[in-house]
Amino acid sequence: MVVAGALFSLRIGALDLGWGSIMKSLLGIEDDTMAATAVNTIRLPRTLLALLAGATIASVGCALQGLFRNPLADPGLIGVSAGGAVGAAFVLGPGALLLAALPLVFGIYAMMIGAALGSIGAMALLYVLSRTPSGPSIPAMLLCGIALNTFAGALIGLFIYLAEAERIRDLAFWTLGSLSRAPRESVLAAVPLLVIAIWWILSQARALNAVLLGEDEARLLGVDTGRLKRKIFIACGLGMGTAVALTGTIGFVGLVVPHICRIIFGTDHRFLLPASALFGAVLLVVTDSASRLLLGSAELPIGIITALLGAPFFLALLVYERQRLHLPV
Amino acid sequence: MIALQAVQHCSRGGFLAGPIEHDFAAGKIHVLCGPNGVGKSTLLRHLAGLMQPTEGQIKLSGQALSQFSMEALAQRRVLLPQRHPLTFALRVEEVIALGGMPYRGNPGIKSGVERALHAFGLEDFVGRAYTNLSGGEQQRIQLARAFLQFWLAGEDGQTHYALFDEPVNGLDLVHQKIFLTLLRQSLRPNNSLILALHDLSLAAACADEAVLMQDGRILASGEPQAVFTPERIASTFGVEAWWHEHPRSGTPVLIAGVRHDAL
Repeated sequence: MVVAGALFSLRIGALDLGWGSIMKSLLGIEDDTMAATAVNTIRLPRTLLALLAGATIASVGCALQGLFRNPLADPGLIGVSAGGAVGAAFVLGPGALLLAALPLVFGIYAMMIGAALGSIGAMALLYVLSRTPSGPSIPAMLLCGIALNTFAGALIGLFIYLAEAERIRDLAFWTLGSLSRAPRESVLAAVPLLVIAIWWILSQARALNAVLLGEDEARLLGVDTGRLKRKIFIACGLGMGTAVALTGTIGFVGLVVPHICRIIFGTDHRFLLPASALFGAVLLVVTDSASRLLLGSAELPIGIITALLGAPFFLALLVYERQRLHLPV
Repeated sequence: MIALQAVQHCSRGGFLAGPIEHDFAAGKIHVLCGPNGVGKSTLLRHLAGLMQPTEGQIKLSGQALSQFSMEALAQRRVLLPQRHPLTFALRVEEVIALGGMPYRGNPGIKSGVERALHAFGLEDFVGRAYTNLSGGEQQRIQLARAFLQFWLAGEDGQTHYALFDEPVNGLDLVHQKIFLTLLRQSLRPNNSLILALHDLSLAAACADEAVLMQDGRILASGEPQAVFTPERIASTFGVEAWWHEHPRSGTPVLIAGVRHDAL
């Protein structure tokens, strides 16, 4: 499915290329330079970004749901993405003067690191504010998410208000989410960071299973929960920050994918996390292809599509899972 | 043996007035009793190493509990807390297998899960989601998980112990008997079992040593008949209690609690 989705994504674009031409371009033997350029410098990085960002967002969602024992912990809903957007916006705004002096690659990393720090800060805040003796409080977490999302929205709104006309569309993409803005160099710079983040999250599967029993129970089974939390926060922050820096906030993927995977593969994180990562990759690459097809020549920001699909899913979850979420009936 | 030396605790997380001096000898079933909020769970959490005393120390076979890493301790002690916050739909056998977590790669885990499933009559629940089961059924699964960890802890011959906080909560009489029988069978000269129970009759029936707590202290400890005197039960719980001979076996039975005609 991943391979099929990726190939599909490579095929779609303004330039109608045949499969043969795409294959030849990938192998570096295409004579038609325009086709080769389109595939290798535009479509390939974009497909790579869709795959990795999808895998990251889904595995981050899955890991946070496990760690917080909260089935509603979507990085978008609880404000982890918003924290990343704020971090990136700071680097873009006040930090931009400083960055102008640095070479391009440093600038790209600075934005990703700013976003990663923003995400980690958001998670730390969430953890502290939602902590109760009987485990993390779901309502407190969602309220904290509202605050963070509002704050991020206001800050980005402020930047939009202050920005010159031609930059408004650039900034709006933060709130909508899009895969089209990331230049090839940024994507290549992000690949190792995203891969490390995903791999790190996947390696915590066993400990996350124990945490489902409760934090004390995990400690009783020999899990160093403090270290686990730090690892998950850093890995998720790195992953989400990097993804947000390149794509803006793509909502609901981190909520929908782990839920569907739980229905199919069960709750054991050793299977659930890799399954979520793969499904997230497929979902985002397919959605991205759709975002390029739906409007014909123009393309729809992908965040709009994921939100249109994800919000009803979220509402359905609220209706059917009231009991388990301990929400007032 | 687990020795408590002048243990006190005072923090927002819990309170033990102490100073508590007590030895939990190996090879025995110890039962903690006392009114609600008296510090039974806090004491169990201390014994498990989840909480550190603010004064005094706890020693396992002469070594301070605080010197053990959580990982090392996971192979020596088991604690089953009173409440289980598991709300994700793990399957029954997955929950039980988590008891083998401290023993990664141990071939005994698989057979241990089978044994635990069998012991608590859970074979038919394999493959079902934990969250869809009743409170008593969930408790049996958690007990099975605790026993798996306890059995594996005993494999290397070192001193080990298990702590159960209100283990019979939600269990019917059949499963109470199964649990207590299994507890007795799992007792070895190098392990100790410590339970917190509310049912004084049950405590008197299954304890080798009874420990009565009041106001964050140990009021009395020893043989059940010496600890649960009618006077002490009356002053601690405000209910009447008598020791009787069992009509058939002649063994002493404690009858404690409210009477219909006294209500």
